Amino acid sequence: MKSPVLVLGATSTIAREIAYALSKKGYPLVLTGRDSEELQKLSRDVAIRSDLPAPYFVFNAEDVSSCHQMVDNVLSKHQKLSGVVSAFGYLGDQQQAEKDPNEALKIMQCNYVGTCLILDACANHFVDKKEGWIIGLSSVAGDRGRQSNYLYGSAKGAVNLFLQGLRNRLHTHGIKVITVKLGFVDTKMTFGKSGMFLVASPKDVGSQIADLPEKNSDVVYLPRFWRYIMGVIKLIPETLFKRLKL
Amino acid sequence: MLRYSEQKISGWGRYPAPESCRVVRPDMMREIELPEDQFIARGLGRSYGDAAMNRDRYVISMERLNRFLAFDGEHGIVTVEAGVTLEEVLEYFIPRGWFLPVTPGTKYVTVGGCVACDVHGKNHHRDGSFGEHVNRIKLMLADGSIVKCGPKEHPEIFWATVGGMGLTGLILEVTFRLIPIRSSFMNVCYRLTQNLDDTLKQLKEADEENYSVAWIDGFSPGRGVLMFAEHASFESLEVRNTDPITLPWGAMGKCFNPYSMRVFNMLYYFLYRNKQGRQIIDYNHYFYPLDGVNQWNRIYGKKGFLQYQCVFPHDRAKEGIQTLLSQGLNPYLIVIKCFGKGNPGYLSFPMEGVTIAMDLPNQGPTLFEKLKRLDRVVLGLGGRIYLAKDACLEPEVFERMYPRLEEWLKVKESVDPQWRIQSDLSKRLFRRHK
Repeated sequence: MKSPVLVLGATSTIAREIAYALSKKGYPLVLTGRDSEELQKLSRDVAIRSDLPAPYFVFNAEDVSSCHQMVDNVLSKHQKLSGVVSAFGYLGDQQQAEKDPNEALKIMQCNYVGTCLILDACANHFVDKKEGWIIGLSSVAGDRGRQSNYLYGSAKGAVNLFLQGLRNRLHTHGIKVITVKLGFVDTKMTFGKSGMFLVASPKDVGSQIADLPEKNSDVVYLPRFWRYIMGVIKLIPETLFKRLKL
Repeated sequence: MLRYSEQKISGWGRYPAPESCRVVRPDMMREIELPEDQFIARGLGRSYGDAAMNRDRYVISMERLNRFLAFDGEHGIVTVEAGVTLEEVLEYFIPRGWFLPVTPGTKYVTVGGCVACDVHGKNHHRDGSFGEHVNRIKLMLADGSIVKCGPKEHPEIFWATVGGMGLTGLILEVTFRLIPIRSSFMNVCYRLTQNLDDTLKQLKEADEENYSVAWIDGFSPGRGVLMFAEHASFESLEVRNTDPITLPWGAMGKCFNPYSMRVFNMLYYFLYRNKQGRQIIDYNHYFYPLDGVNQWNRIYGKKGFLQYQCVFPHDRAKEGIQTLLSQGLNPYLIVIKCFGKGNPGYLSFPMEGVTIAMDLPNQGPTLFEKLKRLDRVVLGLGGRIYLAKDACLEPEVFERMYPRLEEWLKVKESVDPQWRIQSDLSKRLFRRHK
């Protein structure tokens, strides 16, 4: 039987679909997040669907001091992990964060600090066992800072750089690190908002992400056409971009 | 306040035409917030008419509330959030040797929807409808309070909710019983019939068959194909999902017209002439032939279509069906089946007799005049219309078709005295009661 996959931030819509898709591929799961009620439901849900136990525990990505401890606890219970999916994310409120440092800090910690600390701890484990994979969910917002969400965007951008460095470090050990940059996905984040287009279904995104460990991609845009959209966006000269209201 | 999205919503038949509704889509039970205004729940929108739409008011999409909550592997009893689809149930439980106790003609419906419409399947004559296999429903009433009901627990609320078109409350969770199977394949038997008498007689006599239904040719009235089936007994449990092809929009509307459909029906009959006798096919093929074509409702084009489904008591069935077939309606697809006894659901559709379902292209106002007349004919013959398919029934006729309506209304008044839960269907049918 395959070793479990650790899913961080498991209760979001996208993470849930990734969990379903991974369990269909025969991976047992270990679920974590900060919403204990939903985690419990998800754990039972996955266990019923997959006929495999799906243990869970509560962990808050803001709790940076206990990140390494958390990973140690998981490993002491499960000995070995096949891989890790980091779906920690917090969109936050840009306008509020501009005035309230606590909100700004939360955006930075959930999206960047907590993610990186945990993934470094997992990386040490994979190097030790000489196998494993890491998938980090990021966002197209991390490709270029723009006025409507640069706190979230910069945190995701920082995650992208972190994953890039981690990829470099772990390559010699044969460990894959995959960055998934998500465009518009049909979730609470986009529901009812104007300006959305070609919104992807979480189910499709979930199953595409679950397929990634078998592939050789480094950085993946989902849906795929976002690679080209962001390619164009990144080419816009700064003197022009700073005048836009994106 | 949960954010809403203004969307154009319609039923599967796209008649009535899509209306702008305020759609709310909670991701988890905790997020359910009942709007201050009128609202109705919606699953995957497979009811044909206006049961899950609410012009200018709220529609609560239950799609994301699709978690499995509990499963008793020994008895096959499963508890799910109402948004779980039959497709998901089949996907996870067929490999473990369980099947749905009752299934309608598509697996792309939610369990909540199955309860609200009290769906029936090809095995109704033996096993009844979906509601009869439900142990318990967890319902959120219009005031936000939660009620658990079942055949022995608040039975009046239970039987008002089964077939109650979502109007008693938001169905949150359903506990129902699966049936054990050894094989995902079916032993089927196809038999051609030459006329209506023959079809009706053979259908009625097929009591011991597990599943039975007949297709009849609307253009050459009477001749048909009987399709009987039972679960195969050799051990083989595979999930089958054809990768559906998707039909393009509206352009198809022109290709499917009375002339081409006459030819199609003729070909269909001859196709089955060569298939007569027993054979083995997989469950997906037998139960869900149309699921293989995504958005098949598009073949009817922008005007949409209606599905007319009613049931006649046995002694008036032949007369009723012959009347329906002689109206020049040009139905593209007709299916008939025998029902067994009805259940205690006050607005549940199935009753002992013969049911007929016809797909009718929407050819304009004359169609509705004809259907309104036919509704009265059906009423006169002791029959009634299926609300999950209905798009044009009039209140005075509806009230006389469902003799237990008064009992249902008593429950409705007790659980939702302000009539906050309404759909375009309820506004059409209950004009006199608001």
